[in-house]
Amino acid sequence: MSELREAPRLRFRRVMAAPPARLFALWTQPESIKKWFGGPEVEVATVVLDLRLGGAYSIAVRGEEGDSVIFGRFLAVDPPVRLVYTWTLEGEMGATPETTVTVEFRKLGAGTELLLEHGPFPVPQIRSLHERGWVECFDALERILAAVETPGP
Amino acid sequence: MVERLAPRLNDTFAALSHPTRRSLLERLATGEATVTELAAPYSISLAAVSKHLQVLEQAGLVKRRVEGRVHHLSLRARPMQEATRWLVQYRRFWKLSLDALAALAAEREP
Repeated sequence: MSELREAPRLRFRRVMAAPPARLFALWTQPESIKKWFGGPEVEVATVVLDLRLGGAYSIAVRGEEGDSVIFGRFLAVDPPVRLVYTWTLEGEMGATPETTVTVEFRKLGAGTELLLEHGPFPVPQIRSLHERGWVECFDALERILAAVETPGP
Repeated sequence: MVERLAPRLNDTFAALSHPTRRSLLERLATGEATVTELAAPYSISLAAVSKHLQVLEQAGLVKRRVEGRVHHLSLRARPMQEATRWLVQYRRFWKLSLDALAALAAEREP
């Protein structure tokens, strides 16, 4: 039971085929965020972002079962290496507990080692939901990078 | 808030992780019932049903009223609402299907 009482966190490591500066830009520019955030199923309506220490951001998402907003505040902004921000989801059923996202872009050869930590989540099931969600995000980012590297016919 | 609610939420999800317990809750959603009435549709023993009911009771999902030797059980809806509210909110946000949610609930299966 004791390990369940420790609020669980998610940790990811992905290697991306682009330099850290490119990843940092994709992660922080509103127009880019709209393309990858949440993966192919999630429709991002608006992104407002004040990229500085203490600055606020919000990402509004349209859904068939109601709209929702992810919002928070930047706790660390260290381009192109590191970003820390709070993360709260608010929808028609109210707000969820605040979590924190830490993302790092470390140079790895010609690419980037992306490290992401997100939590704490109140129960493992909620962590698992986010795990699926972030994988969709990473896959979408990879598709964007692949499309740039090799132009289609 | 998270720290305070987390253990209770875990109890709730653990209680909901078993198909028999979910089915017992569904039955109780229609009204109060005795242990014998609840056990009737199942092929498992009365003792096994009793054990599932104890888990539900400990998670605060079910309450027990004892009248002589007869135990009446009824549903307490509130902890379940609390537990599912966040989960539903997150699922909607990530656009995950209800099937995905059911699979997550099943992860707690011992």
